[in-house]
Amino acid sequence: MLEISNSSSLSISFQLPSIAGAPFGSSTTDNSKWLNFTSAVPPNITRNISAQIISGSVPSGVRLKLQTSTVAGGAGVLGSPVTLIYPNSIPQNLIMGIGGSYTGIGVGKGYNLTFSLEILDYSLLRSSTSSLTIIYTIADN
Amino acid sequence: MWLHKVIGRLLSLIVVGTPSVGTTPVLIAGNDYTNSTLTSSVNQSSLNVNSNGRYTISVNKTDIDWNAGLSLWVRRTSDGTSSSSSISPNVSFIRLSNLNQVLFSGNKDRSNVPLQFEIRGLSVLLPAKQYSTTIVFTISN
Repeated sequence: MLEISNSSSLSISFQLPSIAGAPFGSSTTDNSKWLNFTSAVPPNITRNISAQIISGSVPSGVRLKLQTSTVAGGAGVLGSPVTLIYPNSIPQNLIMGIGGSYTGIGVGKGYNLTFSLEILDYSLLRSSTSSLTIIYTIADN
Repeated sequence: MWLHKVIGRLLSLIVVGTPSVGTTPVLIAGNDYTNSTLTSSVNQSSLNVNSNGRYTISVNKTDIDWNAGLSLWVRRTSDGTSSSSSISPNVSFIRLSNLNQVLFSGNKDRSNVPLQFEIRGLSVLLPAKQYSTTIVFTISN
């Protein structure tokens, strides 16, 4: 069983340069989301949590960066984070090797997720907004 | 599986019913099972004693595939029905082990002594599988 604590939408944007000719600054970051889960597994079975974009897309010229903290709280075999992924429409493992465990509930429990944006190609940048949805899945290996 | 052992003359014990303690869910991701203890109904099983004199009922368990994190408890919840005096000791839960422990002692025939069972220590931290043990009731004079 998996849940995002603080599941409200989040917003990330780039900070505009203050001087003409300067590059964009880094994007804002959001670390308000926490992955809480409970896992009861048969012997010799572990699970992974993956993330993928299921609707919308990242604007051209940039990519979404998702960093995962070390786990906070909980008990049992809580797995190991893949510290950095760039979510897209293909599932990517975020947490691996989860056994029998529980994280505790709410903000400050489990794995903290930090979202930000990185510029890939200035020539593709357009002034726009874009919305997307990420789904998280816990499944047996 | 229930075993029925007879020692001596005019001494017999019949166990009626199958132990069952139900289930416990995980209601919120991040939590352990809602209940770490599951308790059966107060008359989940019962004992019928045939004896023309004094007797002692003892109980133990023989593990088939058990987890040390789990403990199994049993108690009688009333005296049952008999024309003779009450039985003793009281109706507190006793933790079953592989050593015989006195469940109660009495005198003469007695029927429908109700039994209640309890499993303690349930947690998602334990491997999710079927655990088995045999409870053995023994009557002796």
